[in-house]
Amino acid sequence: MLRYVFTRLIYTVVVILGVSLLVFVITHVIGNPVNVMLPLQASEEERAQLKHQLGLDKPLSTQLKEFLAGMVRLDFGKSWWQQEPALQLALRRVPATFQLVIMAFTVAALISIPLGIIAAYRPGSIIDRFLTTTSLVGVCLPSFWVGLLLVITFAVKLGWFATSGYGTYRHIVLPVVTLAILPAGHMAQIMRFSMLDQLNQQYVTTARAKGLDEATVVFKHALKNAATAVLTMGGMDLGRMLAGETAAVEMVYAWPGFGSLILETIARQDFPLLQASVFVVAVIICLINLAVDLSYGLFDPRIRY
Amino acid sequence: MSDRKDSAILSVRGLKVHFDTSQGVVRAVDGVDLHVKTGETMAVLGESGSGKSVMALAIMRLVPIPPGRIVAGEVHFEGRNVFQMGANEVRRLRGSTIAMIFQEPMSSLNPAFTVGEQITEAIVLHQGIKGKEALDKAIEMLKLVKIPSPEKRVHEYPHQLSGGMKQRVMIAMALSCRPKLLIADEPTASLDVTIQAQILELMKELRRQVGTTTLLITHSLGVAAEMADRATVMYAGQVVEVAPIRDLFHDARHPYTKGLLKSVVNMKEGTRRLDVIPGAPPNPTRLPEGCRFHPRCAKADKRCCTEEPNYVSVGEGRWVRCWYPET
Repeated sequence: MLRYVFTRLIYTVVVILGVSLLVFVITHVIGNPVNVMLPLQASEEERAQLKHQLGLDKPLSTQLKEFLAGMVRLDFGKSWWQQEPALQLALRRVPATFQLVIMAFTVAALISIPLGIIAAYRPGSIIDRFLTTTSLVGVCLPSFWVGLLLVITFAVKLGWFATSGYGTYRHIVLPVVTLAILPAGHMAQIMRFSMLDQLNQQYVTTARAKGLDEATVVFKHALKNAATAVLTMGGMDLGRMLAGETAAVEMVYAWPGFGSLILETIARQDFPLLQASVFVVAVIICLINLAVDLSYGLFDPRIRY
Repeated sequence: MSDRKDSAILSVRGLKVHFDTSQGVVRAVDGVDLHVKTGETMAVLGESGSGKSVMALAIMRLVPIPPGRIVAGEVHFEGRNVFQMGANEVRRLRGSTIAMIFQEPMSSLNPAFTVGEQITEAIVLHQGIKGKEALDKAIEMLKLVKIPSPEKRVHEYPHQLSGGMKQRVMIAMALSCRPKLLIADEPTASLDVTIQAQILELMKELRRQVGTTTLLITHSLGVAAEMADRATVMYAGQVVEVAPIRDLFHDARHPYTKGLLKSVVNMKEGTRRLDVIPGAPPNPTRLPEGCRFHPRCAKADKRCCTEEPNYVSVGEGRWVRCWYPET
């Protein structure tokens, strides 16, 4: 177990290094921050001066060496736009995103998992057909579009919630709902499928033949076996939400998380801040994956580390 | 078939279980009568698809509904109609008074729980003992079914056990609450021959020790001959012959039973080509008119094709469903 965790942590370092290198190469090859930072009419001299100031005039290999040397010390330099250590700026945005993602994920799980179980218990029933259709729709809807629709309906027309911003329940309901739709659809589908599969297993008949009541048969015997599939999907969704979905949703609702931060830094070509944000996201996702992989053992005794 | 109602612990009368499928209605069990006397081992013989497993599930009210339907019939256990019991009453019966062993020990145990957890579940539920005491009882049961080092095995998961060991665990689980009736659905069909013999030997020994009435469902004439006192032969959802096991082997009356017996290897008679019953079992959605066996029966005549025969008594405790039982 400890050995497994140790090996996985080494992989994590490799993955994060790879991601950072990829971002470094892409930004330095196709990016041109000087053009973004200076007005159109800026002279060649001014451009050269800024380039020198940012260290972009050095050879790419030297820049890479400096970047890696900094990364080892968790120092990504100062943000070019905000003149503050980049990692601190990125970390400051983490709590808001976590709040959003964790709430959305909890809502999604609390709705989709029970519904998936009920649907699987009575396949072909009204609840099952309702769930199968809505979950498919949920998976297909792009979140930025849903976000805009919700804003128009519930914030602009009905005035129940704020259109954007951060602070009270008026601000958080709509982004949470928007973000929860996709994982809820996924998890409901996987839960239903996996539960349906388990309920047809012979051990379920054995459990019933023992005289156990239906609740014990479904929630103890079948659910423990069906859980791993949902866990996998949930872990993937959590990662997907943190790395991509939040960016769109945070932009729509002007939510001050690191999803919107990454989009802003890409637009401004703020390399240090972008590197720091990507680093933070990569670390979080690697840790989530590790946690998911470790928790399989709780449900399936056949898995050993 | 009324003469043994009084001594019967289990009576199945006119049972019909149908399944609605996309191909039509499958008449899996279509008018089955079965009487099991206290203390005996009754074999239910029949090939795959003859309805014997569905009948077994119906006795415990475990047929999935839908797609299944209990169309007609009654199941009486110790004089009480199982089909008229409330859900709670049936649950109290399951596992405590009637227990069941299934064909596939590999998939019949839950892979996510230890052997001990699965055995103690029934003990805790039906006998009201808990914790350490229930675990001790589980270990005692594992000892009874001759599992080596039961104190260690009780904490293992099914994947850590061999197929034979798993079936022993299933037997331990089934017998843990001292059931009055044990339904064993092909308990050895998926095990290899040496393990099969061990399990059968174990079941015989336990029967001597515990004295549980057994309903043994099998397609194997050998297993029936080894284990049973009497046999009920099923074909296409119906009972075709009932007889004490010796009579069945020496003087079978139904053409189907005769065909089954002839298709068994017999080394004493020297090498010969095995006899087979011509044709195949009927499609359960389109059962033939008249006697269900007539398309495959050498003696079938016009009457067999149109009229369904009823049970005819052909001796002490012997019944056969055929128009020509004497030939």
